[in-house]
Amino acid sequence: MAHPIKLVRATALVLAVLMLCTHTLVPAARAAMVTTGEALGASAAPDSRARLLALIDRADIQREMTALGVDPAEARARAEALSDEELAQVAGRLEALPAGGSSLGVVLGIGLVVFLVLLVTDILGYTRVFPFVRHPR
Amino acid sequence: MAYGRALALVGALAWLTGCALFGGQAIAPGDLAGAIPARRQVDGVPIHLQTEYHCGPAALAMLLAWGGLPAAPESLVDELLTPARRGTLTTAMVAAVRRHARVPYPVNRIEDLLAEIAAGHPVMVLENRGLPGLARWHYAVGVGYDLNAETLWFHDGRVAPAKRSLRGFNALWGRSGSWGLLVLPPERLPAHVTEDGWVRALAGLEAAGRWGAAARGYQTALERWPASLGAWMGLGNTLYAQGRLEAAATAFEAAVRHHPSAASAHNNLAHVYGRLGRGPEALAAARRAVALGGPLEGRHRETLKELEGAAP
Repeated sequence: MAHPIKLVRATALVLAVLMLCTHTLVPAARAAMVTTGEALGASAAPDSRARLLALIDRADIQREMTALGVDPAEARARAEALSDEELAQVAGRLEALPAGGSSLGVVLGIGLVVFLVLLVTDILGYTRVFPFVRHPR
Repeated sequence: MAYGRALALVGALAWLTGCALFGGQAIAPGDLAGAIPARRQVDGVPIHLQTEYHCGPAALAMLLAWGGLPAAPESLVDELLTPARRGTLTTAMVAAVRRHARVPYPVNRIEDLLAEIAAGHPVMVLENRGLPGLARWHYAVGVGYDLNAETLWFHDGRVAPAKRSLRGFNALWGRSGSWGLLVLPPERLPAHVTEDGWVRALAGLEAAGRWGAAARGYQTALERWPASLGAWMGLGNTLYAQGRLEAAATAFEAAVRHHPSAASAHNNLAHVYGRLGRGPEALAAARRAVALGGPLEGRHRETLKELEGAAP
């Protein structure tokens, strides 16, 4: 029986080789038309590794969207309508990126402003609203 | 030390309000006067009221309707909303624009935003109306401005257009990352367009499989930039994708005529010739692509190999 670590390494190697093979086979199967996006990015880095990464990002970002409640088919349609460049920019960050929703919650924001202003004025000694602020004198 | 305290208070207030009052970059009407009319309002943008979390669908519905595709905001919710974020991510917005066969074109500077409205193009903007640490992201649609009064107005999900000071808006929008977007029919170029920017925007449309709209966009580009390599390549690729091989060959022929050293144009021409059964011409074009080299040389070699294999 092989050592478990060795087994994992061997499996990883086989998988990596398989991934590379399937990837390098893709262009041949597609008969090598150069897409407009590729032609535009040709000066950048369209090497196979970058394209492999983009391939992985596409699946990852769909999973990420699904995790945030988007229907899987819808997540795929969204990812398909984005360029590799656009996907690379957002991959792994969907949780943090701006999501335009509503300004209705601004009321909460105003409440926080009032709290912070009063806190500052309390600290400066103009007001005495919060008991937890240590006042001078 | 009363002055010191007062100053500290003012400073704290300025920070708390996100510096919207004090940090705004002044835009003198004189900077823009002459370049654009003093006052302009875009017609044909309906007002859609925003239900909770649905400013994204409302904003997109307004812009689609302006471009001749009336849609109810409710019908756009599924393709925009990310439920756990209770809002619309900008990537979902860009993807949705493409799925409706419209060209999403970025607007990131206030001068460009005004120039677009002056050209009759409404502009979608995303602003953080909360605090830096307590974000309240909101989409609105800029539909008019008045340089003399230094105001802009927006359809922002309420019943009446919201009038805002140019300076105040610029400060808030700048703080929010200056994200703006045009939603254009492919026949219409932005006022602040660049050849590269337009072709890139269309390549996205092409990637989304909207071949017809992308082809019309490339034709629009060629009216402005008759020798554009990106536009000829894009036109050829979209025609090819639609199975219009003769027309695609004509487009790639134009690409190599204007840009004899563009290897990928020769490669794609070779490919189309091959499909059309024009073997010798296909081989010649493929050999030229390989001889020219470049970063995609490997792909060009595959084309040549395939054509040589097909030749008797």
